[in-house]
Order: sequence, then structure tokens, then C-alpha cells
Amino acid sequence: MKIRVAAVGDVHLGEDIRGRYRRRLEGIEERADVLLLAGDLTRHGTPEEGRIVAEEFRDLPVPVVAVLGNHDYQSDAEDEIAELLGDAGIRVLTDDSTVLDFGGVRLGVVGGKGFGGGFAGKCASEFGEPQMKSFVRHTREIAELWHKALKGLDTDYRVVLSHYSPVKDTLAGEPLEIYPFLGSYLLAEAVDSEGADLFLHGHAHAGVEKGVTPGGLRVRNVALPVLGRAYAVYCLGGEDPESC
Amino acid sequence: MSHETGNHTVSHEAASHEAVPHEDAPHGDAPHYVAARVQRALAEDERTYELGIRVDIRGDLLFLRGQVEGDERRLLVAAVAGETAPGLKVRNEVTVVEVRDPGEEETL
Ligand SMILES: [Fe+2]
Ligand SMILES: [Fe+2]
Repeated sequence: MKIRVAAVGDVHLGEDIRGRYRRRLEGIEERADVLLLAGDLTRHGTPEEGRIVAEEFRDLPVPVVAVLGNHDYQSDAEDEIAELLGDAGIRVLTDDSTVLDFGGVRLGVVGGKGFGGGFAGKCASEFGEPQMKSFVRHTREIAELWHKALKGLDTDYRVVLSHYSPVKDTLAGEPLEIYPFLGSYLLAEAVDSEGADLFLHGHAHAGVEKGVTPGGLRVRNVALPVLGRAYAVYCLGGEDPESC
Repeated sequence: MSHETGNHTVSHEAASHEAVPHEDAPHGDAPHYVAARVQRALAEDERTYELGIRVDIRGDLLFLRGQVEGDERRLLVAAVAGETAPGLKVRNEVTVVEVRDPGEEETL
């Protein structure tokens, strides 16, 4: 009853480092059952870079699920990038969910890019100028969609995959002043109310790997500069003596 | 103490202005703003698009710290910073992200 989840974010691929990541994925099937990509897969967010990402992660011996990050939106080609990845067999989540079956053990993955706004008591609110309202509304609507997607997910394990952070814990090392641009507590609140086994995010390159939501859900920042390794592997179902 | 150049009268105070940049430089060129300008350029210039680079100015030295994914990006960061703050010496302390093997799994 175990599932081994490999995860990494912020690989920021581009022409200059084409092909370099692929080598690091050799033998992944011996370490993990699935690979989750936590956004910022490109640097400029162009279709050309999207193609490089697709080449790098296509036809792996394990299924790949991804979300996009803010860099993947930079050239207004996020839909095209998602399509390119989809054509390469990579499931891109856009505030929805997917279910993977590993010999009868089912893993549900919910998520999307996420967004910022800050953390409880020190955050932006939907008040004042239209620009401010739309900033916070974007995060609120995302959180609502994730909540709904989780609610409809009856699987053995549930993992949330995001680019932005749900908590401050994993931002330690980032300047305090930019926390509101690194994540939002609304993402944590939405997930805590439904429950899940793991929350993965990237985006905070200078943060730390481990944190926890107010509801006790484990959070892991898998941004490549934070991990310093090709990907992290988390074994779900660890209490089972037969597993991991 | 002034002399005529065509229609313009140039005082000595104004003429000496350029020679003492630190005391009399316009406030818009305070190191604080130059560092902010460099940081924005690194984020917004399409050659870099690097959001996590720390920029510090000490005297005529401009320090860059952070991590990027490749050697070429490390050099571009220094180039863009140098263009944005001409006259400062760039000290490029940016490193390339080191990627080790996946290593131990964590049991949850
Ligand atoms: Fe990133
Ligand atoms: Fe990001």
C-alpha cells in the first residue's frame, strides 16, 4: 500500500541547458512510481522552451504530472506549453485533478499554478482598487477550485501539486518583504479543510524543503535550488511495515 | 566667480559638481536606487529573467549573489548588471545550481 512520489520544480529549462536534465532521470523507475513537476519548467515561457521541456520529460518509465509556474506564463503561451506537454504524455493540471492507479492503489493529484497574496494576518485582501481586488480574487478562485477538486477525489492517497507556497515555513531564507508574492495561506486553508497526504510546491528558490500547514499537512518545497538534487522522493504509506 | 560661455553662465559650484559625485550626485543615483534598478533589470531583461538575484553595492563594487541553472546564465547576469550600472565593478558571486543524485527517500 505504498506509493513513491518523485518531485522537482523550477528546472527552468532553456536552449542553453537542453538535454542536461534527461540524464538525471535515468533509473527513476527504480526509485519512484510517479514524477510530479512543480512549475517554472521554462525560463521565458516560450513555446520553444515548452518543446524542450516536453523532450526532456517525455516517454519516461513512470507517469509524469505537472503544473506550470509564473515563468511559464511570461510569454502568454501557457496554453500552448500545456498542449505541447500534453502531446508528450505529460498530464498538466489546471486547477483540476487526475487519478493514477498503481496495481490497485490509487493516487489522486490535485493542483495548478496557485498564486500569492501572503499569509494569515499579514496578507492582501479583496479591497480597494480593481488591481488589488483581482490579485487576491485570482488566488481565492484557485483555492476554491482546489477545494472542490479534492472533495471529489476518493483515492487511497491525495497529493496537492502547486507552484506557489501554502505556508511560510518553506520560505525561510527568502526576504520577508516578498512573502506575499511567494504564496498564500488561502491555498493551505482550502486543502486543510478537505485533507490530503502531501502538499508540494516550488517557486521559492531560496527557501527550505520542509514545512507543515496549520492543519498538520506536510509541505515540501521541491524547487531545484532548494533540493540540490535531481528530484526528491516521498514515500506515502510509510506507517505500513510492508512498505518503503 | 563665474565666466561666460556664449549665453550660459556657469558657476564654479556647478562646474565642480561632476568632480565630487558622492557628495552632490542627484539622489536618483543613490546606491540604493542603482541596486534596485539592477535587480529589476535582471528580472525583466529577457536575457536573464532571473528573479532571485541579490544585488548589493558597496562603494564602486556591485555584488551579485544567488543561483542560476547554467554557466551561460551566470555570465549573462553579470553582463546585464554591468550595463545597468556602468561605472561599477561587478563582483559576480552567483553560483550554478549543483544537482546531486536523488539520494534517500523520505517516508511520510
Ligand atoms: Fe522558479
Ligand atoms: Fe516561480
